[in-house]
Amino acid sequence: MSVKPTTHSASCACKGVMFEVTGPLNDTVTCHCDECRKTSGHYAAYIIVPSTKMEMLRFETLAWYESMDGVNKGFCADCGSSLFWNLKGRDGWPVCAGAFDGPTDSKINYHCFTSEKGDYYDISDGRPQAPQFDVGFTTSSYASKKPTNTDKEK
Amino acid sequence: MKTGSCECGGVTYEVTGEMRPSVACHCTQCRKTSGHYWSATQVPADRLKLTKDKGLKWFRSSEWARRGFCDLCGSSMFWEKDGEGTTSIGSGTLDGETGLNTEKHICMADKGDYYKIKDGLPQLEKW
Repeated sequence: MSVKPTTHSASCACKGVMFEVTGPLNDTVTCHCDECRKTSGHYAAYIIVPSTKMEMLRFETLAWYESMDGVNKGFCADCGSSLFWNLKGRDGWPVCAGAFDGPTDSKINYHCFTSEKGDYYDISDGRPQAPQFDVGFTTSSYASKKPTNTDKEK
Repeated sequence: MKTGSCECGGVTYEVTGEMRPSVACHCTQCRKTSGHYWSATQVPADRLKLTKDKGLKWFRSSEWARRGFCDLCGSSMFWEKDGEGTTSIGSGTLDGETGLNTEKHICMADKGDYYKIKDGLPQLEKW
């Protein structure tokens, strides 16, 4: 007897964008870099999802912003919800953990870019903190998310 | 005076005078719009000056409130309750040192299951 795989539904606040993720979700990684703090309004939390596990159900209001070369953020143009990132040449999509509709059964693995953390909050959950990107993270290819200063000047 | 902006610079602002401590909100709307949970300071609306509003768009998020975001880069910036005369400003959109602290966590009944709040601050089921 086949077992139906777990499905996690996700959406923006106005439901203009809806998608599903099949299978158990990975651990969550938070990001405290300047860009993630600006775009979220606080700091960000991501669950990396392989593209083959993602299915878009509705995307009429989906808009893209190219944050850096090859690094694009998907958000809802109607309600402004942050949804996910697409990184050129990478298979996994960092999906905003807050986009999931129900329980994620995920947990925070570690916090990255804490060297750029805001001064108005503490990180007190006891999880590891990486000043930059933790290259020990299993999907180390994401280390390229953060540009060097030279890249920023281009 | 403090300054702030969205990620792309399509919305920039200045705030004068004292700002309320930041309040972290875990309601479903704040979680969806921010992508995690949202933390905001607040000032009387007349002490927030928009210095660039090219990307500013308002979303009517409920019968009593609206949310301001940048429709060029999707940054979650403002929240205004009708008739209050105040604007909540995402604390992460402030430039540099804010000098703020976090006062409390609200709407904890809607909190996500993937993180824990252990900073010792008050946690309210509602607000």
